[in-house]
Amino acid sequence: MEILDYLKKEIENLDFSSQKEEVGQVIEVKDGTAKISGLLDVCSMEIIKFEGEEETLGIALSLEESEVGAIILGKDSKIKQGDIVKRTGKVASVPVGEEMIGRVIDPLGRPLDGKGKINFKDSGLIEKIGPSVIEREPVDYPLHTGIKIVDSLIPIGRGQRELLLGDRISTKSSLAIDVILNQKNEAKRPVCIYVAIGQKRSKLARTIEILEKNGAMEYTIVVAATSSDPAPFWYLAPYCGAAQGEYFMNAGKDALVIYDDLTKHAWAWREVALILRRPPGREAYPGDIFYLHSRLLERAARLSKEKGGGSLTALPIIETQGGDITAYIPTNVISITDGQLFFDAGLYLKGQRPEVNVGLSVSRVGSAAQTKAMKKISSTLKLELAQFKELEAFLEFAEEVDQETKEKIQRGQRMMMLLRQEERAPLPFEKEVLVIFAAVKGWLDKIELSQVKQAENDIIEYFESIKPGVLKEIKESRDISTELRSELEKGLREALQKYEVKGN
Amino acid sequence: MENEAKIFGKALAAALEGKEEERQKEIVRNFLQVAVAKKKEHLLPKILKEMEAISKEKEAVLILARDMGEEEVEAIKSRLKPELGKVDKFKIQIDKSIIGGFKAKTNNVLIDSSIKTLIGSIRKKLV
Repeated sequence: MEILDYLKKEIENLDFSSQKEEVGQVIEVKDGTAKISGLLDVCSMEIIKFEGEEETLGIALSLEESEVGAIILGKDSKIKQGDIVKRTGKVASVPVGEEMIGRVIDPLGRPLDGKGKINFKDSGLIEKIGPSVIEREPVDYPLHTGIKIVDSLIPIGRGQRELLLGDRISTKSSLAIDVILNQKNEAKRPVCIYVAIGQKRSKLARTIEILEKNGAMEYTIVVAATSSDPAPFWYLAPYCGAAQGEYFMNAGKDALVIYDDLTKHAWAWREVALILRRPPGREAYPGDIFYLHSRLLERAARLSKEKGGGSLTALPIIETQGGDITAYIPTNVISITDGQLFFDAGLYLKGQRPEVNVGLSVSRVGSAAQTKAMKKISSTLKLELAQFKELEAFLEFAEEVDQETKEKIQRGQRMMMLLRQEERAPLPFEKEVLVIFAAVKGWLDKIELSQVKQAENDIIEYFESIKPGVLKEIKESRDISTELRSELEKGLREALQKYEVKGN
Repeated sequence: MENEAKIFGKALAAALEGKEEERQKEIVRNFLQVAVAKKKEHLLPKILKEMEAISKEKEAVLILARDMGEEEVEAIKSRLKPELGKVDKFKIQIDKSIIGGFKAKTNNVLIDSSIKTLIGSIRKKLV
């Protein structure tokens, strides 16, 4: 009976009056895009509905004099010439919120992980202009990556945009995944968003597996447009990721979004723009290729206190060809971001991991966000590494060098060795401080180069098991006080006893 | 230039509007002479396209489920005209699949009063 009553009520409430709707007709469909006649009052970026065999959504992109160019968000094989297209009056948006955490979604916010429907409450605009100047605040809180070379020399702050660029063989994505893993035990843990653009499904599955195994999916959202999805999905994916991050930023929380990678995003936009017959420019990219990335990365910000003080950090990834960072897309994105990590294929082949080229990498704002503890030791590290690099070039010519130079070279070599790091082994901040402290204070100078890694492990193990209080204090005070310093030195002496060394 | 063809097309359409057939023929002849004198013959195909588009704007398709009486159709037409703006010509199509009611469609607007759509919306509610 109840069901009958319900049906009766529903039917009674139905609107039987005829509707006047604004429509258009499909003129042509090609490769994920459609040309439509009519739809005279449609807005740019408005969602439109193709009423063919199956209802398919699209987004109006090019509003021309008598036609509308749109991207099709779905199978274009179901759309025929002459099909009716309706306006929806809605600007493209995706579901956002806490409910998305732990899920794998497509660029329209639909679940891909088979874990059922997402009951979302909020939605965020796909295209949105980033916060204004007065809504922002300087970056002043670090985003610890867990990568020694990054946290000490090229630090990243929350709300910063730091580009990862390098050749195809380099470990950019891998480093980005490690950054997500390292957030697990961070204070004020940011929500991580991993945007996969044009990746193979097998690779994506591996990435998700790594995140799951390490318990990182608890605070991560994966937005995926894989290589089998059409170009419009690739084009939308980063904007969807930004919308996810913005939700947390506006709620006063921190978020980290990784765009892997924007080279493919640029390709997708070039493809769409060429099919929509927009005039091609350099390397056949359309004229707005710079704006494509600048408006995306401008959405990363550190909000002011009045706005809740949330932040959105962006780590875009760009692939270079043959280490050429002066190509079109890399220079564009370098100029947009607040610094870059350059992955050097030469260093990779020499066995340095992560193969970050310190000379070509910068962070324009991050050092303001470094903790006092890290600042104190990293300035020495930077200077000594620079001196070492200078001397290293001479090393090949001169066999005999004076004692001072020899020591500098030895220390530099040990530092470079110490900065090596395995994949999937991000180091918590306090342990990074510990081992770098040991290096810059000369505790590793007398240790055989091949034993440096072993010594590093010994130091960490010693402090973990015997002096956990020291690590805790570094973590909490984020500084190295005089007492802590003597405590550290005492500990190092004991930890490195079996190597028979003395510090200075 | 594309714009030139558009302007010619609009001018010709405006000149022809509301004229008798004999006069229209005369206007077209004059127009052709002007076009030749101004060496714009190459634009003629584009002008023709423009004229077609203009006439299409004024035409609406009225889809009915069955052949209705003249009076009924006229009543629908007169009711629809203020809604559809510029339209002054209706092309009537019979499509049994809409079951009942009517659908009126121009280039930009669709007024849907068919039983088929109604049933469709009930179906959406129930599923």
